[in-house]
Amino acid sequence: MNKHKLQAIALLSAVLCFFVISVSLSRSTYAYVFGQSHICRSDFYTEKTESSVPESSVPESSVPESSSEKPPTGDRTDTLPLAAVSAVSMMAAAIWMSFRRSRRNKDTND
Amino acid sequence: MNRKAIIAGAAAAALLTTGILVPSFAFLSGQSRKIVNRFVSALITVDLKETLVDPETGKKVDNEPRVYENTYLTVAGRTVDKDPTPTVAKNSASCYVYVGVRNEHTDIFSIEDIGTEWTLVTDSENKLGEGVTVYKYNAVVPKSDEDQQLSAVFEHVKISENFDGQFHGESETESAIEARAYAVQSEGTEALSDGYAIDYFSNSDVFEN
Repeated sequence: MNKHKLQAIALLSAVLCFFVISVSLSRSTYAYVFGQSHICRSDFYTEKTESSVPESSVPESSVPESSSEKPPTGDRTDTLPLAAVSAVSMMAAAIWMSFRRSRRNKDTND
Repeated sequence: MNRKAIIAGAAAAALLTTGILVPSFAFLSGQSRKIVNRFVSALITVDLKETLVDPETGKKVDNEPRVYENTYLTVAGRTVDKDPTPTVAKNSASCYVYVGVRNEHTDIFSIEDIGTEWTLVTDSENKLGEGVTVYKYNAVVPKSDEDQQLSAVFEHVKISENFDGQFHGESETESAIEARAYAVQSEGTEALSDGYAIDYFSNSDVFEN
C-alpha cells in the first residue's frame, strides 16, 4: 500500500469520525423534555361611545356602515335573488315579444 | 506413529477435556436474581392561570377560582390587576420555567411590578416577535410530589394616559395580552435553556392556540 492510499484512508476516517461525533453531539444537544401551558389571555375592550348617546338623537345618516347598528347582511342577500329573478323575467318577456313581433311581420309579408 | 493412533489420541483428548470441563461448569455456573431497570421518560406539566378580575374595575375578585381568561374595560391612565402565575404539576422533572407574554399594543399597555423571582430574558438575536417578552423564574423548580405554584410573573398592567379610546390596530375596539408558560428540564440544559425558550416563543403560532 503506497503513501497516497494511506493518506486517503486517513482522510476518509477523519471525515467519518467528524460526522459521527457531530451527529451524536447534535442529538444530545436537542434531546430534552419540556412542557407548555395553555394560553392565559386578557381581552381589553373600549366602552362604546354610542351607548352614551340616546338612540333617538342620532341621525340615521350619521351611523357608519361599519358600526354594529348596520342591518344584518342576511337582509341584503334575501333581496338579491328577487331582483335577479325580476330582471331575468323582464328580459325573457322582451325577447319573447320581439320574437312574436318578428314572426307576425313575417306572416304579414307572406 | 500411524494414523489410527493419532485419531485415537485426539478422541481420547477430546473425551478427557469434556469430562473435566463439563463438571467444572456444573460447579461454577450459577445465576443471580435479575436486575430490571425500567426507564420512564420524564414529563413536565406546567399550567398558567391568573386571578379573576372584575371587567369594569380591573380589580381582583377575591375567593374565586383562578382563570385562563380575563376581560378588562380599557380606561386611559388606569392600572389593572393581572397576575399570570405558573404551576408546575407534581412529579414533573426538575425544570426551568419561562413565561412568554405577547402585548399587541406596547404603546398602550405596559407591564408593571415584575416579580422579584423573575428576570427578563435578553433576546440578543432579536428572534422574538413584536411585543413579545420572555421572563425566566430565577430558580430551578425541583421535582416534587405536590403541585408547585410559583410566584406571579408580574402584578399589574398600566394603561397609557394617552389612550384615545381606539386601538388603531386590526380592531379599533379590542386588544389582548396573551401569556404562556414553558418549562424545560434543568438537567443538562443550564447554558442552553434560555436559547430554547427564545426559540420556542419566537414561533408566532405559540400565542395562537
